[in-house]
Amino acid sequence: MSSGLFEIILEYINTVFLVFSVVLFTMFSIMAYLSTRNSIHYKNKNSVGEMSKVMASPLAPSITIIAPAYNEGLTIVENIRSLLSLKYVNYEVMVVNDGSKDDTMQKMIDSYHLEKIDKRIDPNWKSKPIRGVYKSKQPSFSKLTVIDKENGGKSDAINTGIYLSESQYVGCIDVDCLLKPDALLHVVKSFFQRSKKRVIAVGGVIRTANSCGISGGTLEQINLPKSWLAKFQLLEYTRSFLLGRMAWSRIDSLLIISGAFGFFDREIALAVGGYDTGTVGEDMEIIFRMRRYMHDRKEAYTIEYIPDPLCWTEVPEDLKILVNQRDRWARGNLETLFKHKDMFFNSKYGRLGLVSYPYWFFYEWLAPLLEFFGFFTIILFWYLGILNWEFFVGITATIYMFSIMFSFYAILWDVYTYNEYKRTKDILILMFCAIIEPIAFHPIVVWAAVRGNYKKLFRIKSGWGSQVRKGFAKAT
Amino acid sequence: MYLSSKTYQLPFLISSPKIHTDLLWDLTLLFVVLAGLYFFFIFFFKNRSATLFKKRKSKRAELAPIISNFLFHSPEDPKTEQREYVELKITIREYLSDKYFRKVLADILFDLQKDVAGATQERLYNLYVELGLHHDAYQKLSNWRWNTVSKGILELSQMKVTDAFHFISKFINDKRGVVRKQAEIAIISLKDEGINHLLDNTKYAISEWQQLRLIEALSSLKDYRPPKFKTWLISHNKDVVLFSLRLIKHFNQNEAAASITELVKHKNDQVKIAAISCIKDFNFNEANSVLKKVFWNCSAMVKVQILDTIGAIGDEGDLMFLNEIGKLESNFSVVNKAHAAINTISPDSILPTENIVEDLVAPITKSESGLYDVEFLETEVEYSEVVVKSEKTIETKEIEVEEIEVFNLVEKKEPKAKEETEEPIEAPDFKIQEMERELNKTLNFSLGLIDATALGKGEDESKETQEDYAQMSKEQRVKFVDTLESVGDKRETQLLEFIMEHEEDAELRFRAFNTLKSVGKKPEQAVEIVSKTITPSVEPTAKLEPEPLKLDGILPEESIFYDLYAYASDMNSKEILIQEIISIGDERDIPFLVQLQQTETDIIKTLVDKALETITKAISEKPLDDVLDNSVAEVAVDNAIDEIDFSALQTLVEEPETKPNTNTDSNGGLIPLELCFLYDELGILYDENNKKEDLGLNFELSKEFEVMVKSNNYSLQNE
Repeated sequence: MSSGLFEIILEYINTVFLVFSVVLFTMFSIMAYLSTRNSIHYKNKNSVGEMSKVMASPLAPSITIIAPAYNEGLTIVENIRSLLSLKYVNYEVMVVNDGSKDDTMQKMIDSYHLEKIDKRIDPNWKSKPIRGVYKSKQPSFSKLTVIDKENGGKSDAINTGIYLSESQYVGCIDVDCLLKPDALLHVVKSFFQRSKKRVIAVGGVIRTANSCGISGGTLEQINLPKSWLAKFQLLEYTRSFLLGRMAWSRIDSLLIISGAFGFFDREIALAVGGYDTGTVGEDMEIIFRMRRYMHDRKEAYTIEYIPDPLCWTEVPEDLKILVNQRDRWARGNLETLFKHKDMFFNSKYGRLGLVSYPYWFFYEWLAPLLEFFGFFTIILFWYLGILNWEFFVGITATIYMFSIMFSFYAILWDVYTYNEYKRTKDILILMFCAIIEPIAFHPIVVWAAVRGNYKKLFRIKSGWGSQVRKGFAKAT
Repeated sequence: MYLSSKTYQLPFLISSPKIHTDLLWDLTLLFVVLAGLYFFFIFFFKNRSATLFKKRKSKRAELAPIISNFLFHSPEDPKTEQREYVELKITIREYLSDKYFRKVLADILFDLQKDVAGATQERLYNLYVELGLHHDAYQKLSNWRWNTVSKGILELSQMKVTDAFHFISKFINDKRGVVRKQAEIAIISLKDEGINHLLDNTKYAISEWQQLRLIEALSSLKDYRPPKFKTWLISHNKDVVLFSLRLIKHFNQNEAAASITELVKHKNDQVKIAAISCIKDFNFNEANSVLKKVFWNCSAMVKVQILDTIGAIGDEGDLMFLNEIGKLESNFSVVNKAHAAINTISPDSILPTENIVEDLVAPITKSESGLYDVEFLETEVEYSEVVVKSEKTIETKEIEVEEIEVFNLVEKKEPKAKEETEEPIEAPDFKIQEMERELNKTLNFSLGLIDATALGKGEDESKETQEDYAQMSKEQRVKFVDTLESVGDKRETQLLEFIMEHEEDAELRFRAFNTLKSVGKKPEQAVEIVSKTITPSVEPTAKLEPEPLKLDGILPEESIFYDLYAYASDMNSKEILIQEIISIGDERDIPFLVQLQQTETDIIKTLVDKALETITKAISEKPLDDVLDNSVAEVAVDNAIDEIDFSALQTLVEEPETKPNTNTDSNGGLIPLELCFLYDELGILYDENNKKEDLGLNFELSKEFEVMVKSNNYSLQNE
């Protein structure tokens, strides 16, 4: 009797895995369809008319780009120069020095001839103390504002920037990000193009700048990264940004905007209290809160997503840094989902509660854990001699081929829409990456996610970790 | 794939459903096939785009000379060329039957029209129609695909096919957003009356991005005469109202004060903000009361805009309202803006209160003279009053009046305080003042200058001018305002205010307002600024500030390169300027160079060092007399005169330290020549004493000459 029950349990496990996989395939297929439609629509819509004419319009809204900097002395001067060379008339670059321990602040003062200015600060504003607000003495750097404050983390730094900004829109980017010169025009267009809904946030694709040719703060030549770890991440980003987020954007259910390139309606961002300083997944959490804020007020709103390759950044080439990064993402994911657990299958939030949140719960948070425990279950079953080899090989082959097929589709779509990697060799390398990724790279990501969840569940203190930047100047 | 019906019909929960592994393998096969297809399509699309690009490039290379021949053909060309042209026309007609050829040709012309202008552009538009390419664009309009329709509209509007206006205008209420937006821009670009048609007929919302594009399209039209957009301020379409407000602002149409003021009460914040922005730009003072009424029911964003506007157009009557905001409003940004507005209307009413260390003020006030100490006491009292004012806000208007009196009182005593701080000198002889004035008059007379300071100060003269203005015909008034626009300066402020208040013609009023804006602060404001800022309350603090770099009595600003350098936009220009200093600079440029050494980048610093070295060398090689003759002697004389300085001489002594030629005031309060003639023409009289001096040459005293005058004064004094 007991062995019979055990067998039934085992068979149920098989069924659970199969159902989980089939739902995943279905979801991904729907996502591929939605993203395709959205991309084609976006491409056709933008094939007519020029944006550049509006660049210098006196009616162009003001935007502040907030770039938090912590120990970025190596690259800060070059990065700011890049941010100051954007093609837009009404913008400000606000660098928030988050109590750097290196010479970040001094380098900025020296290079941009900064001087302290008077600025009244709301005594009730909750952020780490602001040491000073600096502006350049030189008119050519008039767009630059530097805030020097005590260390309080990335969220605290951005919150300070959002508060001190006087623009209609604020952009939160990583200071080492490289923006295309017309990036702000795309952002403004996205904010301004809706007439019936209020656009509360705009996000965009993040591209990998590793090994790219960069000169004077601008992207000169697009190359495939030399590091294999970076190549895998490039493929992963292509899949995630071109297919995943594009699809969620199509049904207005996007729940995350990358912290490296996210723009917000300042009024709403301030109304929800800015970034949550108590989480490491602040970029996702603020979107949850902003959406809920608008939803609760029953105001028509949307979040726009730009598929154009506007923001380029370095991805980790070191395994340890990569694991730390993914560990942090997993913790952030868990923290945010837990904080907003009342949205789970809550019809009050429409698609957000019924589709988007559950997807994030099952396939972004739970999937790595299931994979991890599935792996040990297989070993256990094999050890016990009860492994159903036929089913195991069948489902492994199915999932593996689906993964390759989906990655190929992402590459196809990248070639069809933006065709950034023009050499045939690069495309073939990316395809090879797609073939070996499930074995070579995916286990690392799963391991990092499990570690992050473990740390969070067992309250093991862990912060942001750090990434050693090579600096764009050296990227060539 | 066959699945047994039994597979999924086993007793629920007792045994799990059986899974056919065949299903898994079938799925695997499906994914393999799909992956293979994608692999194929990746390279298909990649190669196709490359091939299309190459094909189009070669076709363009082939067609470029033909098009150029068409564009630059003239009937006066030699016969052989005429023959070639005709043959070419026949050939191209044959080609035109090919659809692909037409497409490429249209693309080339479409691209080319962006790069050419004038007559060539006109010829290109004609060529497009002559070759019948517009028919293809017309056909696109009836396509079912929205992107094809959009392309058709774009092509017709860019190639200025004005006949297409009627066809395109049908699309302005199309349910497909992209088509609608393209049609809106097209009808605006094709005909001047397109904007009227759009604003009259559009039923859909006009997004902000679209508004930007439409304004941009309107701005790029040649010789465009915009309609009166106030007509559409009563539209039922909120976006039309908003867009009209923006157009009104963009085209400076200030005739709709009442409607714009009414729109401040609109329920939509965007409309409110646009209306407030217009009020600010057009200086609709009468809207002030409405702004104050609606203020409390607005969002923080609108409140900030209102306060900004009140700050710009308000007067002292608004101070009470602004102070109340400090008491009642909880939003920090709004309170902050209210304080800023108070300071704009009444400068320095609210002073910084945070991080002010009182101890820093004390040492400065240490003075040997009792009088100064007494004044400092007054200062402290006043300072604390100001701080209280900032924290608690003014209770009643009477207090303000009292404060102003205190300010004035202090100001009257100020010269004494200055005397006390300077080295004790004997009381200046009144006779010397008299002689100085006489000398100035004589000099002015001989140089043909008018004492405009006296003119500006004379209340009677100002009134007289205003009366004269009131009696002028419209034509004269227009001419008068024309002149004020081109040559007026601060001294005409009162007159401009008078025009703004009493002029019946709205356009003249607006122009006077604009001129007033361009000439700077109002004189009474300036008086207020002086009376409130040059009080002992701020003086000690002001003295704490680091003094500007001044070597041997010369300021960096005295260098002729100072202004040029300030406006140098790039490194290259700066380098060129320093090279110039190396070749022509003298000792007057030394302080400026020293300043550059402290502030500039390494590359500039190197050049500056070189310049300093060259100038120092040149000075050392100069005979001592020459050097003394210029700056040193001048400074010595300056210092000597400074010692016997008194109010009557102050202007003359201080003048050389101000920037030369930076503004109209730099000519020592002299009226520009053009204005002198105008005054004469209109029969406006000056001060009796200065009547004969009305020669009105618009130039200033050279530095050397001023030094000479000062030397004369000095010698006279000694005598």
